[in-house]
Amino acid sequence: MNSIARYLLGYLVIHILLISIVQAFFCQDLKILELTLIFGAFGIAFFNSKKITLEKSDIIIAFLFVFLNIYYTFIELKGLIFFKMTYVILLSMLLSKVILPFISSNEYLKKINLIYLILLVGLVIEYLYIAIFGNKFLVDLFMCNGEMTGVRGYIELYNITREILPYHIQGLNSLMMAQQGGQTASQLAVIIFIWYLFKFQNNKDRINLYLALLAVLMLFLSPTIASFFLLFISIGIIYLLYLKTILNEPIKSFLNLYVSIFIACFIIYLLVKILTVKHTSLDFVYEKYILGSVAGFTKFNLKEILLGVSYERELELFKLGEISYVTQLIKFGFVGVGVFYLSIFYYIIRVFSNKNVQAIVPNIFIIGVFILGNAHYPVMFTLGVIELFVLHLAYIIYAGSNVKKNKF
Amino acid sequence: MNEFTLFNALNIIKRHLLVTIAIFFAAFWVLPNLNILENQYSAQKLIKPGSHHKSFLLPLLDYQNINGILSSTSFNNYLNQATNGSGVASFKITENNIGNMFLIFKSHNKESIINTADSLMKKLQEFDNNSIQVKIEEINEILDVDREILRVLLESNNDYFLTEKDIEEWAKKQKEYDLAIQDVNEFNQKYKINLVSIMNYKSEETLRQVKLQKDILHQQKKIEDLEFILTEGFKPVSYLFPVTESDISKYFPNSLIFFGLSLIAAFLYNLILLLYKFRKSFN
Repeated sequence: MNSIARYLLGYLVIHILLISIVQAFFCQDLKILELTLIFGAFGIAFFNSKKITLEKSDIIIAFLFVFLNIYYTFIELKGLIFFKMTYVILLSMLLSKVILPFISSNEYLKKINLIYLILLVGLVIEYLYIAIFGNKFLVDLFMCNGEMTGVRGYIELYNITREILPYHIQGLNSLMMAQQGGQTASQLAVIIFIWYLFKFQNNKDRINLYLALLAVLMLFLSPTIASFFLLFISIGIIYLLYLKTILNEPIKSFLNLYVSIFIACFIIYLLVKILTVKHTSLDFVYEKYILGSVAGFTKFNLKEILLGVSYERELELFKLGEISYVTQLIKFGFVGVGVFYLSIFYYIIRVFSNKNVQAIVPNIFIIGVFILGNAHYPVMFTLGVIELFVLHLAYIIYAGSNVKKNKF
Repeated sequence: MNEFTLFNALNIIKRHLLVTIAIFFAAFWVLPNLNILENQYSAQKLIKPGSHHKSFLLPLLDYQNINGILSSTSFNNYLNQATNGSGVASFKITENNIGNMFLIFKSHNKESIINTADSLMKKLQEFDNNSIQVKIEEINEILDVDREILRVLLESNNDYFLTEKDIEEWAKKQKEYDLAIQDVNEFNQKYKINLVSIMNYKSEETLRQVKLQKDILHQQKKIEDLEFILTEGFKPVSYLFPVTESDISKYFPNSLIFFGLSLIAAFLYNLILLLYKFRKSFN
């Protein structure tokens, strides 16, 4: 079983790093691999079923997802719209049963670390390559008409730095390709920053600090507004976590407070500036993106609030799909969205009961950032990224499980 | 046993597979007869847009207009009053690629679909009829003028004919004229003018008659055309076929929904069973 777990984890690393590139290169939708992966993981669990320990929560959550899928498919007749969310939870659950109990946490985290390292190096190489040779070769190599094939290849993205820097380099696509426009690369940069910052905090190896700063640099070289928000929120939370450690120390000077207030004001000013780069005012942004996305909810009935609306009604009531949470609420209702996010939330809460596991905070933090990223485009649900998210969630599920607790 | 493994779960599911299948089929057989789900009906009607004669352009309702009217609050208020308490069916207008407009009605009550469809179309027709009425009045005015012209033409017809009285009067004048110009020796010269006059008169008379008849015929044709346009030239928006009960079909609950519900029942049994066994395994 140990070797199977290693092979499966190895396959997942290759899958995460290459799936988007292969998909774009052959211009062929490879979403079917998600189904293969989940059946494959279940197959491994099935043939080693004596070694797979179940918990009450696993049974309840798995059945809840099965019920919701049956409901959306057969009763609402919306097809497999709930598959992605089911995939995330069930695959995480399966990986936490078939990989993590059979390999060490260190080995598992090293693989995640390797993924982030390759992604970061990929971003740097991509930037340098575009700067020196331009992006024509990449665009030609991974050209794929998304509207016709459902696959988005390498895209020439607008880069906001052209307004600031004396030269213009298109936005980065990353190894995951621009499946959600410029959001994919920039959001990954934020996550890589968090990963290496916590790694630095843990082992004080300066190379991790440099890698974290390099990730931030890549974000600044190919930024998006949503990712900037994520970065600022992340820094804010990291600062609060830091404050927690010095809470009992006596206050010697208020200088830091003044600096913090200044930084907070500067960040707010910067955010307003960033938000108003493309649009005339914050009023316009609020009216177009916020009100336009939520106004249709006033016409929902109780069933629609709970279980979502039909596709036709969605088209009729909503003109915009800029906020991914809202889109999910429209499609799945509070029950569908609630079951998904509350399941993740449950696993996060549960993991805190086990203090003996390493790297809980960065994993939870990254899960949180992926989920927060849904405030705009759902980067975490794109091919490759979804499996990366699953790796973190699987770790959290395993870390909070009785299997892990019994190990100590 | 203090550990509940996937093997245990699969064994429990395997042992109760027959019961699960029995529950599924029992639910699938029983559920449709229980009437626990309210029937939902739908009807799709093709809308024929209003038409006008090509000579009289008219702003009749198109997809945008109809969509705007149907989504207005006042229209909903009107439907609430017009359906006489049978309830207003939900409706939606769509347009396909080739420009056909469809109205889709949905309700739990067949009667409300028919009432809503009828009331809705009556109101839409009011909009078209108002536009058509303005054009009809305009055509009626044209018709009044044309009928008057025809009357004048018909009445003027007799004035062209040479009556016996006219000939007698002409002959009498001719005699007087002959007497007055007896000194003219040349006979031909004497009568030549008169013959030419008669010839000219006949020729003009014929042409005039032909022209008059043509004018009358044209005028009559024009009036007939306008009268035809009045009766057949303008049609308000309507359904291609009238709304009948045979157009309404039940769409909910269908067999797929009962299949889904039966599946949920079967899985629910398994969930309860697994949770029970799980609990038992730790006791």
